[in-house]
Amino acid sequence: MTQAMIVVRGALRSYPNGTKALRGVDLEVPRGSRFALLGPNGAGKSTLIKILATIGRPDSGSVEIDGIPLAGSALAARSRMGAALQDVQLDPEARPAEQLELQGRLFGLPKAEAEARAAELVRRFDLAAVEGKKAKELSGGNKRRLHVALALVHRPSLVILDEPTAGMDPEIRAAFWAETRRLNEEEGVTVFFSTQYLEEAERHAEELAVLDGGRVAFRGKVAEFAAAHSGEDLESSYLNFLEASRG
Amino acid sequence: MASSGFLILSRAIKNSLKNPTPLLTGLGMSLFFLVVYDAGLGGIARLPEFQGAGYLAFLLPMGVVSLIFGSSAGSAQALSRDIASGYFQRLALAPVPRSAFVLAAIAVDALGIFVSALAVIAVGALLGAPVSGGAAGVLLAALLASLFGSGVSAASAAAVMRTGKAELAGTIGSVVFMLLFLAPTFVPRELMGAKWIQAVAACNPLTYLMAAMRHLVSGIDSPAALTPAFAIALAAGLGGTLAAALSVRKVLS
Repeated sequence: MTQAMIVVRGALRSYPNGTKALRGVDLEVPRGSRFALLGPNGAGKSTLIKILATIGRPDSGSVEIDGIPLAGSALAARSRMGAALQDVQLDPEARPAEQLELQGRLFGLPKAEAEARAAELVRRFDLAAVEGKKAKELSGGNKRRLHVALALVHRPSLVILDEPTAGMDPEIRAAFWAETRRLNEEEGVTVFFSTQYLEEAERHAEELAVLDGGRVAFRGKVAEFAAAHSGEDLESSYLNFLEASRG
Repeated sequence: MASSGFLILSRAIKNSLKNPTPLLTGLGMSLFFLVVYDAGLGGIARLPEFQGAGYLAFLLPMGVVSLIFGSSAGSAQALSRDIASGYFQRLALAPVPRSAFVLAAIAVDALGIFVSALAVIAVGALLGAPVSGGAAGVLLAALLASLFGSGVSAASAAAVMRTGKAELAGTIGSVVFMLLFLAPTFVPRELMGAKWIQAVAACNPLTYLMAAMRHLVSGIDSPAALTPAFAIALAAGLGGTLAAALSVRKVLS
């Protein structure tokens, strides 16, 4: 069994308007790790995440999830991962438990297990009070919680989260990270997330990669990054890094 | 996989029942046209070209085909809602072929058209249209409408997915509606006044669909229309569905 949960080799991706979002990304994410993807706006983070989640495809290069090449085996790869992309993706007319159950069943959970798992996630993500409401009637924070919970229904071995805590209040954010850590530490789930909140990356990631201009500019331990860019914390190191990279 | 297919189809049926407007619009318009045109033009059925079966027997296929105008927009509207809410992208993360979500919506439209066609024919029979083709003829006529309707529905879905414009959901159905006026819908082809419209009618797929339906339901018109009618309906169904399935990636990109 390979040690890496995610392996990206030479990923290139351009858009029809000529933007080169990825210019040859190479990245390995260890199995069972908590891994943060950082980078300024337009660095290619969301493009890379969409490719990992099989929503997009690289123009060239290869991607493997849990040893499964996405080219030709995307269905098998999808069954191993749960993803919550940047924009909230909910059925506005369905209630939280309904959505969780359907998602679980689409990933192959038997009906009873999907129902039990939905009930568990409703409780864990503190959605019980709004259980009777349709998604369109939920507050922004509750929508975001449900959006993230949907990624976890089928107990994936990899969770991909694109700016998962954007719009969450501090209390919910703390609960979200507690659940994410629990999944990682107790269930061995690999957590791969992008964030603009550097204190989250510092506190919750073991390793990180920084994308800049469509390439991986740094990959390593959080402490190594801080040391390499002579900052007091990740935020000051990151700002030093950006300043240096802009010349 | 079969279980996922069932789940996806169930969701599409539930969505259709929650949003019955396209289906009810199609059905309402069909019945309205049937009653009004029969009341307004029924007297011309005394002409020998109507083969003595009464005007409703001639007009009934118009009622069935005009169902497609309204009912075929359902899948495109459902997909459009899922795309706008981002939920389509969520569904696309599941380990299920993405075209399944589109095919399920089209299948529900086809089912709706089949059931509505049976309802229109039943109302026609109650109003006095002869049903000499029996149950088999009626079912085959409804199948013909459903097959052709699935093509229109799929083409509408493809248009919405490729352009991202929800307002295109009913456009292809509107084209079908216009084609009704370029076919022997209200009078036989030989009674159509201008040569040009007779020539257009000869190339109009609805000419063959309606002739086949008349033969299947009421035993009038030529059985020679059956083969081209089923070929047209099958080609529309398969072609439209293929176009819709190939449009899925466009939504995600």
